[in-house]
Amino acid sequence: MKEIILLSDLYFKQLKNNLSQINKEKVIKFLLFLFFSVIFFPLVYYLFFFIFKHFYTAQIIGPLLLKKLLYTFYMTFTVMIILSSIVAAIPVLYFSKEMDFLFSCPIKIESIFFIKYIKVIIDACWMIFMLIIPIFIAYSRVIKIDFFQYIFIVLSHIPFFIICVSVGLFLTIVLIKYFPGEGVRNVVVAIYGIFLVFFIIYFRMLQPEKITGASANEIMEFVRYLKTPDSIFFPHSHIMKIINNISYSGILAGISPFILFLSISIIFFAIIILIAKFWYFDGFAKKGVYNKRKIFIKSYELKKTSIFMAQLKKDIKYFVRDTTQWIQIVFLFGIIFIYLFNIFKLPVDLYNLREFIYFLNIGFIGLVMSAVGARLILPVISIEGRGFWIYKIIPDTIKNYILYKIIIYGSFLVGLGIFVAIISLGMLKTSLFINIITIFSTFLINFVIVGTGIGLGAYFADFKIKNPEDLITGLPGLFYMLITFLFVGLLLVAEAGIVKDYYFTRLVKVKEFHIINYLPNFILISLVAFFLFFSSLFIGIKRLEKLEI
Amino acid sequence: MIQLINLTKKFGNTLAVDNLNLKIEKGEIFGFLGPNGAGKTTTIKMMCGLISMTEGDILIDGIDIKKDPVNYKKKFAYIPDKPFIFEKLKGIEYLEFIANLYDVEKEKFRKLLEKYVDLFEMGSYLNDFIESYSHGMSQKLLIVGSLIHSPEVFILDEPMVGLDPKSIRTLKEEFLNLSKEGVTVFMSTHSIEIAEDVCTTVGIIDKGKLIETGNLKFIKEKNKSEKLEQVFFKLTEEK
Repeated sequence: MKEIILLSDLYFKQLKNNLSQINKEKVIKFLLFLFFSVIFFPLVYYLFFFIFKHFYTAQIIGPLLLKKLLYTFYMTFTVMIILSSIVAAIPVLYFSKEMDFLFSCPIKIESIFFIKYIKVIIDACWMIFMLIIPIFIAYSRVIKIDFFQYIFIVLSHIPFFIICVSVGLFLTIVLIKYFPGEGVRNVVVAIYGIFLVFFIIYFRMLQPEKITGASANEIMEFVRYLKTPDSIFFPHSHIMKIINNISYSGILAGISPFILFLSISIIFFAIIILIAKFWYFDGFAKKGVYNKRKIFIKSYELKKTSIFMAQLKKDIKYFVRDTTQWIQIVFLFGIIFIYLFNIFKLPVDLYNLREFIYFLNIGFIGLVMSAVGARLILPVISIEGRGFWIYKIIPDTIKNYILYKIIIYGSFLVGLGIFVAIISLGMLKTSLFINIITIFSTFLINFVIVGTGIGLGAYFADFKIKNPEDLITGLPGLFYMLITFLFVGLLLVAEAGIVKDYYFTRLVKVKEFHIINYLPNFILISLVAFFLFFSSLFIGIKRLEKLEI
Repeated sequence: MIQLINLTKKFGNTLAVDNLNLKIEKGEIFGFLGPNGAGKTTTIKMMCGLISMTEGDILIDGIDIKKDPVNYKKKFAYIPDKPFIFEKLKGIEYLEFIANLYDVEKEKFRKLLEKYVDLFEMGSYLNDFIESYSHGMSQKLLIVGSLIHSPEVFILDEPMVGLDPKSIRTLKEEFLNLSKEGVTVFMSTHSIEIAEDVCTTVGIIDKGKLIETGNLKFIKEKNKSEKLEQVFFKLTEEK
């Protein structure tokens, strides 16, 4: 116990010192965090209030539907926490800088593990905990439960987190005992991303909008799809029992299952500490060991290529080998799939307005592609990491380096955007005019996304950060999103009048519609796009040229 | 071959390199000595274009870094003190990447790869990911990567740090051989022993100022010392 208090004190002091050293960057980060929290909480609250109400007010079986929905969520949370605790545990348990020091001190392994366990539980669960707060405020309002019931429900997540994290840590200890640490982490990160995307696609394909005005048979069919495995061996079954008891029978009815759940979590905790006592150090001592392979290098033939192809090959290899990059692709296709599915499932009664809806969807494509660009394009320069110095000393210019990135990533993103637009236009069978406007707009939007993403990515390039995706959540991401969203808005404003006139002309047929009359609008928006593209690249190139490494 | 003219670098109010003038002839191995924080790495980084200079000019083979940076960069190879390389590449892929960036011919690549992989005993590592390399292995990969495109000038920042004794000896011998072929080496080092073994001329820098330069014999005679170490301490401690 004395060791745990000593170690806790050490980490607490580090945290205190870190917090007390206030600098500009920390203040900006805190303000950004505050800003996003202010947006995040009401957004989650209203989203879930809408979903819960939509389900709860379904005829006859509303409460059952809501329970089924929560079961699905908790099953997802269980998998998410287990996977994210593995992702969080590997660096905390095996790759922290202080680990060698801690293991060289006369401290029991279980004491070190205990402290690390607390860190992992915070790292793996804080986001879900932050989600749970607004979700259950929405739930309380729909079900009409009081404040104490709400607090009890929120607190009953503690054993849920302990059990899920303990399972995650058990898997981590076993996996690291037999496989290299970084490799395990990369694979789990990939599985985590793929799982999330498939869950979102699965939920969308359930078509929850069908509940409104559905027949009893259709609702039963929906419930059948929401079926989740239910057993006393699953933590989500226990927490759901507690939530249901508290919600529908009062606080007293929740106490007994809560005590049972808490006891199980304590047992899990004790077991994982015991396992760690015997296996944790074994894994630590072997972490990251790779088997060396011998090759007959003398027969190696240089595959001669241009500088551009050499960079392309390097970027592709990096992409394939960095599993965090695969997730971008999975997310990308997930988003595109949902978008196309929405178009495909456009209600029949809106069919006559399909072209107008599609025009609005240009904006939606823009927002989706902006999000894709933020994940895929913004970090491409920072991804080079500390090896970027090589580009500064080779006999080539930074301008060319940026040009290669534009060709590699730009052609991919613009091509993808236009491909998605063509597929959806084909589904909607829109007129030639709308087809042209859509392709033109999609090209311009992606053009701006590529220029702004690479330009700002270069301007804010940080080769020392561990995860270049941090750019997305920081100032660079904010600027990028602001610029691309504003451009999408401006584009819609510039084209709205044209589309409106086109429809009125077709509907009323009072005057001829000549696209040539609207040429100034197209020229103006194209000029804005060119300005954003080139100005972003200009500041990015200048910054990289002057960058001191 | 290398000319530094009135080279100055300021970081805010701090003068890191103060009006440095140097001329290094073709085939020379120049040892750049100085205590920690003297301005060695800053000078080298300016020579490689990694940081900008506040004032002055740098020329290699008469090509000015400011006027023609692309042709200037064709002339040299740089080995930094911290071997940061693209970690997700395999060793052989990094060498191939470098060869393509410098437009190395296939046959030349094959011959040099064979030579240097054997010399630095890297064959069994080249198919591994760089992220699994030790500091010394990464350093050796950087060295082979710089040798593979046969530059006219080598700019080296503490190249021996992290290398095993055998690799240090190999590298020293290789630079001595290359200098006979007319290759110029500019090398910063903390090791006076290495400087005495390899360098034909040395420069001693302290607090951003070049306090002594010339060939080893001349410096020793001028400072009435038998060992370079004595000269180094005399000059840096006097200041």
